[in-house]
Order: sequence, then C-alpha cells, then structure tokens
Amino acid sequence: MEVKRSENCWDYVSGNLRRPYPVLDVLIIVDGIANQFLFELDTGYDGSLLLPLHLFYELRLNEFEIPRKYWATAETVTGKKIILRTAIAEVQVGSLRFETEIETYEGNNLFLAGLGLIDELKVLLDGVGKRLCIIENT
Amino acid sequence: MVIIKAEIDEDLKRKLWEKAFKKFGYSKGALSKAIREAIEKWVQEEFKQTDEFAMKMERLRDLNNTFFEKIESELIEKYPGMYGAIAKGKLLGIAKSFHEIVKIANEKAPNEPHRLIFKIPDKAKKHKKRGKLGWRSSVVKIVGTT
Repeated sequence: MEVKRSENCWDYVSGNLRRPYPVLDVLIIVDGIANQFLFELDTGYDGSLLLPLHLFYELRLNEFEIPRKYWATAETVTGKKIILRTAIAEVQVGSLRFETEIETYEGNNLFLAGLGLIDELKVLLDGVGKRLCIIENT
Repeated sequence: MVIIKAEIDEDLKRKLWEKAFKKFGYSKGALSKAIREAIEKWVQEEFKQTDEFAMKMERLRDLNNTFFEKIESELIEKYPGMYGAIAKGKLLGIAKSFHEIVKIANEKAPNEPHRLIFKIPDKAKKHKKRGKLGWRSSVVKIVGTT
C-alpha cells in the first residue's frame, strides 16, 4: 500500500474500516539490513510492534528471540488467549532509532504499532488533516 | 474440483506431455492426472519441510530456554541491566549494549537458526502480565498459539 508521507508525517489510509486510520512506516533493522513496513497505530494493543509470523522468520527474528519466560500472554477483545513470540530488534521511525520488542503469533496477519512503540515517540494525530506525525527533538 | 490456469514454458510442456502420456496413456485426462500428482507431491514436500523446520526450531528453542532458566538467577545477580546471548544451549557472552551482544552472537553463532538475545533484568521477572492485542485483532481468525 502506498502512503503519502512528508518528512515524519504519514497520511491516514483507507482500508476495510469505516473511516481512514493512522499508520506509520517502521524500518526493522536486522544485522544492518533494513526492511520497511507500514504499521497501523492501535492504542488497544499494549505491545510495541506486531508482525505476521512468516515475516518474523523471513526477517530472521528467531535469531533475536527473548527468553520464552518473558513472552507476554495476550488476550484479544474476544477473550481469546494467545502467547506472543517475542524478539528484540532495532527499529527506525522517521529519523529516530531505538530497540524495541517485536511480537507475533500464528494466524496473525496484522501489522500493529501499539502503546510500547508510542512510549518511544511523540506522536501527533492530526485528525483534521488526516495524518500522523512524529515530532522530533522537542 | 477447480480449474487453475498457469503458464509454463514450451520445454517443460513437452516434457510434461511425454511423461504424462507414458504414465497414464494417451487419454484425455492424462495431463490433468499428471499435473494433479505433481502439485500434490510439491504441496506434501513443502508441508514436510515446514514441519521439519518447525520441529527443529522448537527443539533449539527448548534447548536455549532450558539453559536460560538454569542460569537466570546467576545472570541477574552478576549482570543486571546488561545483555546476554544464548545459542546451542550455551551462553555466548555478556555485553553492555544490544549492538555489542549482537556482534558477539554473530561471531560465535553466525548461522544458528535460534538464539536468545535479551536484556538481563534487575530481578527475576515472572511471566509478563496479560496484554491486549487491540480491537483490530478481533476481526482476525486465530489459528492457535505460537
């Protein structure tokens, strides 16, 4: 999906929801190789980044897993409990680079950016302008 | 039954016809039978490889996690706040930063399909609290746990 962006801003995208929703580009850097993905901002997700399982392996995040003991058990809004396989990786959003946890589970096909990622950023949701911006150095 | 269309080159088509007619005779359904058999074999092989990979990964994951659990309290006591790496059921090293520990892991276990890279907590963590996957995940059909 192509998203218009200017510096650290990304236009909301239209999908299968009733209204356009905020997204942001995240570079996941593994061994110096950066892969860019578009994540939906979801404040109902309390992790940092959620990826589809096949991408977790394609990016070789299985070589950067954290101990299973520290994986979170998550619950969907429907009450379904699942264990989240978790790895650490370096990511870049705009010009900000930091380490964060990346999670996945079998059956997931969503790209979500949650509260954990927002904790690292200053995010402006410009609902009127229908865009999300990262505010830096302020 | 469904019909699937696919493009193949002339050479492959010629070989397919030759083998299909030889095996199934010069009948109308010979090509379909051969293609069906070829697809079935390919799909089975792919599933087999995926299953083998998953089993190997699970064995290595178990090995590394069992070792981690053995040394966890020692790591917390000696190296709180530092980074550790485990592969092949062994501690690869301890480092002050994520970059350093990745470097160590890449040097000592470069092609290892499963490694643990982690920040050593200040005190033993219990299992993480339950989290929420967000309202978007409610529309996803969940196959099972990882």
